[in-house]
Amino acid sequence: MNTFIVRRLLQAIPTLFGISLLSFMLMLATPGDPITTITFNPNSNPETTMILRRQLGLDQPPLVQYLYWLIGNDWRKIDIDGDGEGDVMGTRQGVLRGDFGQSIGLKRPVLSIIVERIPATLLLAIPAVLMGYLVGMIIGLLAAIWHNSWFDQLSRVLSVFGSAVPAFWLGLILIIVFSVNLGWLPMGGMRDITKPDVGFNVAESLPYMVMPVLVLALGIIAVVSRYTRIQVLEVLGQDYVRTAYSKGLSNFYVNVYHVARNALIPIITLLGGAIGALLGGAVIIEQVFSWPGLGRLVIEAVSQRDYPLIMGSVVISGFMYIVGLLFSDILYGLIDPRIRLS
Amino acid sequence: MAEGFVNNIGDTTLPVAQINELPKTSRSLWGEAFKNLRRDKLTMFALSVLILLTLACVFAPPLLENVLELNGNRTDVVNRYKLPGYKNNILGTDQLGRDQLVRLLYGGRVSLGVAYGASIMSITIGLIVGMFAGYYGGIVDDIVSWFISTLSSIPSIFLLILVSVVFAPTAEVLIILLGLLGWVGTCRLVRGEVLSLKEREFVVAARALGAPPLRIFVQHLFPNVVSLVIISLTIDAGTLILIESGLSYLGLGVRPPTPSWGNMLAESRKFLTTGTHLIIWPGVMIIIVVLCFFLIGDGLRDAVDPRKHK
Repeated sequence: MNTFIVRRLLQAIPTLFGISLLSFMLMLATPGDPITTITFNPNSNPETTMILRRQLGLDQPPLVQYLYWLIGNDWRKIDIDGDGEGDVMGTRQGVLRGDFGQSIGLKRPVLSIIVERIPATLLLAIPAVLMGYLVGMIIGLLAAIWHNSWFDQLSRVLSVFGSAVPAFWLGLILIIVFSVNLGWLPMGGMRDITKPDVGFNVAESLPYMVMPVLVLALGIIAVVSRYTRIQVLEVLGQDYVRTAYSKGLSNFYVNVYHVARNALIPIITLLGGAIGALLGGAVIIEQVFSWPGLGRLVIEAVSQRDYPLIMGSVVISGFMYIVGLLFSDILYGLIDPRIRLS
Repeated sequence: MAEGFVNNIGDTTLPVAQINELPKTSRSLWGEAFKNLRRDKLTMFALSVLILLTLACVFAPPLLENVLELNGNRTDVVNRYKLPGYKNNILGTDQLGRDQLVRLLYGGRVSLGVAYGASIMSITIGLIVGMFAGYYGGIVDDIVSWFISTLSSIPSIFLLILVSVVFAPTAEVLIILLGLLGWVGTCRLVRGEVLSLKEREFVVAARALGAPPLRIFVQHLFPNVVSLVIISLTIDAGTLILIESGLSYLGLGVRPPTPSWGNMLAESRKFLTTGTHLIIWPGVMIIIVVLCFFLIGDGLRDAVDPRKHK
């Protein structure tokens, strides 16, 4: 089992490297000079601009810039006055040591800004994943057991429908019905802004969570119920299920101990993907419900052309997705020994 | 004795009659799939709805404008937010008094065009790269697999947001961007299929006969993956409609005044209370079209799966 985990961890390294390379290249491709974005001063002295450029390492070739970005430049002296000799030690620590640079708009380290937003995103993602998986698996299981019944047909229709509805449209409709017309739920945000801010408070955020969690969960239910149904139908045709019935076991016992246990294992593999999809899907839903999470941060960063913040979000979300995949792979290996050995 | 035996066989008419009852030619996989598809009422219905809608978006707007004497671009400030059925405006008017139906159909040109164009482009790239990676294996496959796993571990909406900011897309640019970012899924499917196909006897035999790689790709591998590709084409097209609308909602898709279903929806959210009907129609159009694409994809999958029709 340990070698399996180590092998999986090693396999993740090239992907992480790829993500860092891709986001760096995108950063290079973006139009506009970073210096003008930072100083934002048309009267700035060309001499000082040049010094700033050297300080930030922007005079270096792309490969060196990438190295500085990745591992930092505090191990060598930086030439600031342009005479070809190093003057002061660099200050950057690099992405590998958690230094994603400073946000242009907020003038604070990117990492701390992102870390602040993660709890809010998880506050939506975790209930949505739990609810989506639980309801989706139950619907899929029942649909397969009652194959070709009205419930099965209904579940199939709902599953296709659930994946065809744009999530943000559903969000808008919910807002119109429950906030504008009925006035039952708040339209957006995470807490009542007329009251003093007591920080992160789940109980206070609960009414604000209902609609976004519901919309996110619906998308997951559509996928999970469909996948579960296919898996269970596959298992129901296996010899060991027939054997179990012929031993005289009850329907309930066979369904729970033989069918469900075997059919639900592969569904774990969806979990890693679900986390990534949620980070992505949550971008739009967070925007619809003005939820102050990671997705909203990306939109804000994009509208302000805050490139260090954008790059940091891309790398960290990619990292979280890979961790999610690793987690589900390892869980899968723990539950099903066949995966470990292959 | 021997003659009588022969005559005896010749006299029996039974085997001859049986042979006549058999079909003259056996049906190919495609013939079989097409027959299955025609029997599948739901899929045929979805297909006809989609074709009708596409034709309507391509041909109807000019026709409608002439018959109903409307103009999709002419603003009419007096008649804003009119409900469906007001005068000639079958679906009502929007915040600038423009006819909603005409704009919906014009928007469909953009949304459907982006979906068709980008899905065809991403499928083509995915097919070619997937066949190469699967067939040649080794270092080519390693590089492609690495690229795929990298690209798919960044949430695609992040990538799209980034790229949209850099390029500020028109409809044509959006097709290229979505096409360039969307081929990963198809590529993975095709690669997996080709990996197993290339070990099969007919491919090995073709190689042994000295067939060049291009011939093996076109004659032997392509026909075996094409059903897979068509299925993912329809699913992709549906997903692309959703992505286009999501990007537009964030203000990063096709820019107004060019209408697309996504940006019509994005604009309508500003009028939650004054023009509720403006939110309904583009959403309904998106749902109908995406539903059609998904149902067709499902139907095609069933139609080419021989296990489903024993």
